[in-house]
Amino acid sequence: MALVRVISSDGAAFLVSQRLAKRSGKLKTEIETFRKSSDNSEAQPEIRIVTIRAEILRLVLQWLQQHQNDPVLPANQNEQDGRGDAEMGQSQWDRDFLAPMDLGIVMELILAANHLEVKGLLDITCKLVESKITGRTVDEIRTAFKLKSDFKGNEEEQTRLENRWCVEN
Amino acid sequence: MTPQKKVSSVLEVTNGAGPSLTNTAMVRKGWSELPKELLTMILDKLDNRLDLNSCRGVNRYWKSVAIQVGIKQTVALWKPWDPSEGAFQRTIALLPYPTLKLKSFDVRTGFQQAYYPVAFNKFERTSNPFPTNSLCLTSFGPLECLPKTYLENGRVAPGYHKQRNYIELSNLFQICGHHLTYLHLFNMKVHPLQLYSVLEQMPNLEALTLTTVGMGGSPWSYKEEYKYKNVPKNYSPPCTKLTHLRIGNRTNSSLQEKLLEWFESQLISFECDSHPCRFIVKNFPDRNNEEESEYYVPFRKLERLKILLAWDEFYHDIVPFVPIKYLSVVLGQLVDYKDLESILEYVDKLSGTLVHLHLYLEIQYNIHEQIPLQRVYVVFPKLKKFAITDDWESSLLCYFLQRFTKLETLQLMNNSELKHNHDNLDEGELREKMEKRFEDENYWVFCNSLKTIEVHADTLGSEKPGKFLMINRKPTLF
Repeated sequence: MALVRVISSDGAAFLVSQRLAKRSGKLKTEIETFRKSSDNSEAQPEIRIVTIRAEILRLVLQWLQQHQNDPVLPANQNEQDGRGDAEMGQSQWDRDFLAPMDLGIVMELILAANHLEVKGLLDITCKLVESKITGRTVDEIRTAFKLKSDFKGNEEEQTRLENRWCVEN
Repeated sequence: MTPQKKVSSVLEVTNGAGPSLTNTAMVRKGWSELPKELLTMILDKLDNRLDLNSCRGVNRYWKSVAIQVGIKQTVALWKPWDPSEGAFQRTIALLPYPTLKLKSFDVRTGFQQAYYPVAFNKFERTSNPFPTNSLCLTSFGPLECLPKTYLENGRVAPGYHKQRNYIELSNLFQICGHHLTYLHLFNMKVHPLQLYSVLEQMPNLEALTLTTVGMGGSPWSYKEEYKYKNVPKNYSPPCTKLTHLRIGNRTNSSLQEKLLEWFESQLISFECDSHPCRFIVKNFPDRNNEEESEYYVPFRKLERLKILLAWDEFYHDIVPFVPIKYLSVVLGQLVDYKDLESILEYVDKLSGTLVHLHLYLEIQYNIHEQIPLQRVYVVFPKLKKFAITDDWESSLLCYFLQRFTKLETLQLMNNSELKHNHDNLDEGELREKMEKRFEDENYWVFCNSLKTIEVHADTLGSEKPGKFLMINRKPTLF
């Protein structure tokens, strides 16, 4: 089984089968570039991911492993179908996988999934965040996502007024 | 793949204590640093405008993204228009994402300011008075104006008419029209010239809806300010980005013709709920020179079409050339076999591109003996979804089904059993009955790819969703 070494920003190395790694768009291109630049076809590729730390990388790889036999979704699926693919990928395993995470981890996971081009993971994490926004008030959202208001003067009041007619419709 | 390969394929060989690439301690990023494209992706999943409103209020960054998403959704809500939306009345109820509504009633009584965006009070070239880049004009007559109450808090806007104490709507558009991506005209009268000059001010318009719009009034009340005596002969279409056109109930047919004349070459989605739906084919090539006109393909970008009535010229001369993927034909009751014949012929011509077909035709008589046999060989290689009223002879339906080689979902609308036994409905019993019926009528056999049959009590897309049953193909035993 051909393997690839994936190294996180804080130096942790993961040995992953190439077949699994290639399910990430980013890793796939990295492996291919490595193949082209290397004379020895037997050499084990080594990929450094400088933006993702070990804890997050482990989660991404875990998710990939669980979903290694899923059909790969074409990138333009969304445009064709409009909706539905996000729900399709949401399994009980995914829910258990995401359940213990706080929003900080989820945020890092979104960034990682985006960087590594793992569409399925990106979908379920975004979906999770969306569910955290749904039905919340502005203040609740701010608390949940640790965001601060940077509106000046009457901007906030203005936004509230603008929102009002949206509701009236 | 072989079972041996199922060993764990992720192996951590060193732990996080290894040599670090970054010497500084890992700084956790906050949500405020989420890149714009990702935040857009998340907010785009919200389908409730109230939630999007909450996001607008979080901070400046979120507000700017939420506004962008809102604008996108205004048009995007159009895009996934589903042929199975069917019903006639639907179009009126379809106001997309928050649209600023201006009513002439407000003009007469004075605006209740609180309902309108504050930005409206001080509109100027740089600010956008339309927070979601969409506008709905309701009940305006030929006299187009805004009262001065709009302006009291702000400075006097350009175009403000000092003597008459109002701003003309046309001036508003002149100054701020480029912000608009969606315009809805409802319950009013316009002159085509007027419409042209309004649209001309909105170069970024992507979608346009007309409901209950009559032809009338003189071209604006201030003729001297009005550019054209007539729509110029060699005009260019006023909005080059306009791709979605929806013409609702009771809209004047001359206006329709004008709009199609202007926009047919760029339309991607066209819905016409008004009948008779008329398409004057002869006028189209005039825009180009004589030699080219022979090769002119009207509606060459059209992908989604919803029409009410069979109209021969349209069917035969135009639409077969275009790549229509989503087609909805709403016809009500079929009275003549000739109608059915022409529709079938028309649909067959689109067999190569159709993905979703919706036929709302009620057949009140027995016509299954007259199936034109030569068409049995036309197949639809891309069709995934087919919706039809549930009063067709099963043999006629099978005639369709056997040619839909990739069909996945069949939707039967207006099922009388579901409709009339609404209260004393035993679902299990009904399901069994339906299952038996579909077995007997051989739907599963005629179409191998069929996965689901949905039975609906009402027309799809009616105001409140009615009762419906979903029946899946039973797994085969071999």
